[in-house]
Amino acid sequence: MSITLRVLLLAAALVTAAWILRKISKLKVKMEDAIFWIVFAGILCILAIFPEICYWMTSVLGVMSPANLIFLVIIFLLVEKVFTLSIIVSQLEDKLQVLSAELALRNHSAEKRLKETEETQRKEAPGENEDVSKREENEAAKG
Amino acid sequence: MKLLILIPAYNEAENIERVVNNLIENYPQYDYVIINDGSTDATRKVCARNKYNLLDLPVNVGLSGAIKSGMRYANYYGYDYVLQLDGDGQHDPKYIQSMIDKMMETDCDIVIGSRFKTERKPVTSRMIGSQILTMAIWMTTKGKYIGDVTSGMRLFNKKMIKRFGYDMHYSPEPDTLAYLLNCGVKIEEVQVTMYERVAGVSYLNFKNSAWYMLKMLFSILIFQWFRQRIKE
Repeated sequence: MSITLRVLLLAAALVTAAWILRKISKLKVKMEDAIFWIVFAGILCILAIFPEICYWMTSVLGVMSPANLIFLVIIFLLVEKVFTLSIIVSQLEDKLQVLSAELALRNHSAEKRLKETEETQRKEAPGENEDVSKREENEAAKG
Repeated sequence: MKLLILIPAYNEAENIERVVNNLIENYPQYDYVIINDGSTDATRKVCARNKYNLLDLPVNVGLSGAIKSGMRYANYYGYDYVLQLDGDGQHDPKYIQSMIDKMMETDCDIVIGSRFKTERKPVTSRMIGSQILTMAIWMTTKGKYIGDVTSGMRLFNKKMIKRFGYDMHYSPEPDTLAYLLNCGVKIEEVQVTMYERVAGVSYLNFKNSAWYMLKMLFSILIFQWFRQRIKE
């Protein structure tokens, strides 16, 4: 493993860690989502500082060169991340559908109830329509 | 003094009536709101049938999302204090008064209803986890001791209502306590007794607990140093 690759790995790890920690302080990412990136940076750091681990794994797995192993590890971690993200996006889409459906439904039921009460009030007191129209005006002003 | 009792409920159809009826009958001086966190069982129907004061979230957003909604509700209606009480009947409202007294007495911002203020922790796997978090908080806050870090019975004052309602990182979990202690927020504990849940299941299984511990330790030991400290 060349010294250039090791320095590059170390730099990438440090930048990743610094970036995600900055995002935490700017309230752009939840802390539990940052754990992955800290672990990711940690693994890159370990591989860069102790290349012996890399050599050992290269011989065990039968990979051509340590650099290939580094790529393998990074690809593995990223694929795992894409996989979990894809699942989370699906769940979010589903939640969004439920959320908009529920919002529309509850709005609809609230409006329906409002109309019903207005109608019953009109039937009960035909002379007091003023109150109802006044209230409608108030509500329109509020909305 | 306006106090709101916040009852987060996720699939608590079997417990919620007992908890809320007890509140209505024996503690009518306190207002309450149930936050139904997108339950998949009959929680919503039970609440509607009994005409409880219910904030009904359409989808499940988790405990921290439910607490956030509740804190915003409290802020919207101008409450001065919020007491978080679990919907499963573990917490006894008779301790609320002593928690309020403690807050008045010591002028602190958060009072925790603690099982281990004066009593010792039993040695179970759950309590070992709790003790690890207590140690982590003790180490990172220059020796501040919180006995029962995971207690869900907490009293917050107005400043904390605003923080918990409007900031991304404020989950109602031990890591937030560690962070707040470092911000100079005062946290006190009051000894309470909690009951075992009567019906339903706890969400804590091995996988969830392990992930929870990992999140908390990362957050307390690493991330809290990078959060902006809003000093009191």
